[in-house]
Amino acid sequence: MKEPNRVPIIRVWNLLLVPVQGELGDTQAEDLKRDVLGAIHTGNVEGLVLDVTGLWLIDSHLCAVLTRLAQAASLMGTRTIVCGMSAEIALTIQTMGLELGAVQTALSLEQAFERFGVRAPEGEEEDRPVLESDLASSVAKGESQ
Amino acid sequence: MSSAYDQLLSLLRRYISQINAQNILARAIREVGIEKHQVSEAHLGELASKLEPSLRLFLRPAALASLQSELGSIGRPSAPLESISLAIKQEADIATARAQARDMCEKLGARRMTIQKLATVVSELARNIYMYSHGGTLEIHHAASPTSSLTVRAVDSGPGITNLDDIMKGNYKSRTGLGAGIRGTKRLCERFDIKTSPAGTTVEAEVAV
Repeated sequence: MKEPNRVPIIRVWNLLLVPVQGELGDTQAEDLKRDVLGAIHTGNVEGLVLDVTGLWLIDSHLCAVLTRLAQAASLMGTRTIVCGMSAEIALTIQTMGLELGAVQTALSLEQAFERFGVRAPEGEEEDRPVLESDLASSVAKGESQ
Repeated sequence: MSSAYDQLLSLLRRYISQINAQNILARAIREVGIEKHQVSEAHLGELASKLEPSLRLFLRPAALASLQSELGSIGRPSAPLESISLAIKQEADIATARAQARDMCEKLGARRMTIQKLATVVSELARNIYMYSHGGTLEIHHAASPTSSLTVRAVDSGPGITNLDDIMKGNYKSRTGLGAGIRGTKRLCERFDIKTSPAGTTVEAEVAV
């Protein structure tokens, strides 16, 4: 049976953005790795951004999944940055002594993009970035119409 | 905002991210033709059927079934959760165990960090059962005294861990990650006892609430 919840892989210029979310079982992890490496193989990919905002828990298994994905990408010459880790997750990983291997981390998606040289256009730097809370409130507004 | 709405949102939140949960729920409520604050237990059946197509996009069939069975129990008076027991046989059971651990912590009013700790401990122990034995059980007990704590008991009848001493000392690194997981679990706990033999493995891990 085909698993319906494949993790999306979004191409943003020459970067791959993977919003890791949902339950990442062995099958999903394998699918994700194959899909990402396939996308890297097609060429013109400078970097891989794994956004873990959508995960509420990262255990040693998930750490290993992310690390292996980054290692495989590295073998193909692509650098990986993990971003969007919550304070609770970071503390848990640190207490457990888990290692994310050679994976680099950034606080936010914006910072991850900046590490790859993507910047907000001139003159728009003053703009407040759109936050999840803004989206949430716009959902609430949309609904009361 | 109704308490039924809050319950629905917190249930969805355990399966999908906050933003997705809010969007999906908002859409379902719109489709039913009511407002957020009007959501009551009477709408649950109708909402559940409106939620299903969206949830299919995010959840595997096993997780969807588990969510739907939880949806069915919203609004019914539930006994105070003192302990739960779960069979761990397939990979989807790990996610269920995590979700139940989180649920139990939330009912106890635990802090976010405690929830994270307990759910991680449960996740690690459940995965060990799934990966290294043919199945086992995982229990979570709450004790109110002398101090409030949660004890996770994981029992399997697998072949046992032959190099436990090396693993706990950090001399052993497996490609599958058992070593780091089990050592890390111990660090998250106030108390961590592990007994292993060729007849099976029993782990008792205690987290303060």
